[in-house]
Amino acid sequence: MRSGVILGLVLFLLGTIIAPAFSAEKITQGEFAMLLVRVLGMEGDLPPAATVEDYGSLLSSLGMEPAYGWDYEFPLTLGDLYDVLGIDGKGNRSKKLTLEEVLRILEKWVGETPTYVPESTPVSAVSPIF
Amino acid sequence: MGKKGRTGVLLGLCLLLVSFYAQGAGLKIKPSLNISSEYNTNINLSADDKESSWITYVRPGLSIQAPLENFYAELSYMPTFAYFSKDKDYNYKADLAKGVLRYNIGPRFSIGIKDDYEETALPDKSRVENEGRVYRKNTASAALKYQVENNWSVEMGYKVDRFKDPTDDPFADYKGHTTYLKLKNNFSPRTYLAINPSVRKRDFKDSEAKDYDSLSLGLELGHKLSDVWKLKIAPSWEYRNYTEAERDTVKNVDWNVNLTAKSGKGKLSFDYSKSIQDTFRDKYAGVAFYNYSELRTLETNYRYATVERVGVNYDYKLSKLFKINLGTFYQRNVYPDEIVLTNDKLADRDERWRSNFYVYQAGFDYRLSKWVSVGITYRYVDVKNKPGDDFHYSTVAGGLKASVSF
Repeated sequence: MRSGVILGLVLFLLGTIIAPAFSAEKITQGEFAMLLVRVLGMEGDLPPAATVEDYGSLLSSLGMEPAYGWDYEFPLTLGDLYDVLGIDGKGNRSKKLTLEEVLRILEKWVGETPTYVPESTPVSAVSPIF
Repeated sequence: MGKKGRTGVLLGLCLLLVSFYAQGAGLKIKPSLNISSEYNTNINLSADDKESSWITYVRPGLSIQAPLENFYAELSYMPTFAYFSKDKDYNYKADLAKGVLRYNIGPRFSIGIKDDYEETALPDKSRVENEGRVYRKNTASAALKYQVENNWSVEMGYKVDRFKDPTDDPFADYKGHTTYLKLKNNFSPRTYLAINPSVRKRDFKDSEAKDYDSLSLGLELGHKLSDVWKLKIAPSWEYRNYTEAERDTVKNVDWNVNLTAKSGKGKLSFDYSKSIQDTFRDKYAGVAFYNYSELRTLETNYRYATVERVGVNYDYKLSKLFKINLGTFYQRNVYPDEIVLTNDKLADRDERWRSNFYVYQAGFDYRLSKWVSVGITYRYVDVKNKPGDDFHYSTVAGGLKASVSF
């Protein structure tokens, strides 16, 4: 029990020195994947240790990915964002986006998107497998 | 992880959540409610004791999340209350809980712990009145992962899983320990290969009859065939050594193959898997459905079943609000030669016991608003146990569902 308390305290101290890192620079596909999983409230569904590719894989499993798959280092374009969110938007699809622009689009999208609710049981609770 | 240790970690998580809150980082508190009701024609999953019932599932949920720039902590709890119109003795409550704590040092390095607790009900009528039929499964894991540029990633982890059903049966209470390493290389944007060696140990609480140690080597190859098609092939070689000297060692190859096509609004996937399964949960998939008690008395001779499954699934978004799903799969469980059932109907059996499952399901979801969705589900399950046609049964289930989340 003591180790758990210590762990909590250590994490508390670490938490206090973390500062926001996002800037107005162009956002990469990887940064966007991490942001989107967080916005959807799905970080609990990731493996215990999750790097950027796990965030992308989780979104892909839901059918949310750029047309040519994730390339985490590539700058996110407007076309990528439309592909991931499944929306038919206007504008120059090859335009590279900043965090601010992404947040603006996400804000509108989230307003119309259902809140994610995890499945809590198998297909049928009568049987563990069916 | 012991009970005290787990309590300590949970307390640590609570402290962490409070510390985030104290910083003004803000806790996300997400309540949700799922309600579904279905009519099931064979709630006992039985060939000769069919009973039908409306079953209503009520699932309130609460998730507390603390997302920071590099930290993530979550505690969530979602019980299921199941109500059977046929007989209230069937009613049950099953819990689902989760705790997560993760620290990401940038997008490429992550360390975390996770605890998943799950309760599930069994379709065994004899247990409704006697022993209870909700069993517990808990998995606690800790892992560390480092992604080297875009090409390489290394992951190490340790996992403890615990299974317990409500009986005093020594084979219904076990603990497993797994230590693993996973190396993944992205050869190109289209292809990756992962190598996954692991060591596993399974201990049953009051018996060594089925304890074993195993060594596995898994491979996973993923390849994007085109802009539409993706293929994943994952074989895993296992060498299993049982503690009891008279038991043979087992050499086995598990397979997982997945082929997916995604185009426009539709997603089509084909899956094939083959594995040996030795848990109680797996055992309910098969002969256990018609006569669990009998099998249990003989299970010292029963180690595992070979389970093969092939299926196809199709999801299509008709519109932003309307989704449909169609799926079917076939599963075959083949039990080892050593299993001998004493049932008269099987006394002269010459062939290996096997169970065949045919499952067809369909459903649609329609979102009424941001917070509310409704849907209809349909499922047909046909089970044929061989040898002996007496153990052929089917069940049809269909119903409505609604979810509210905030």
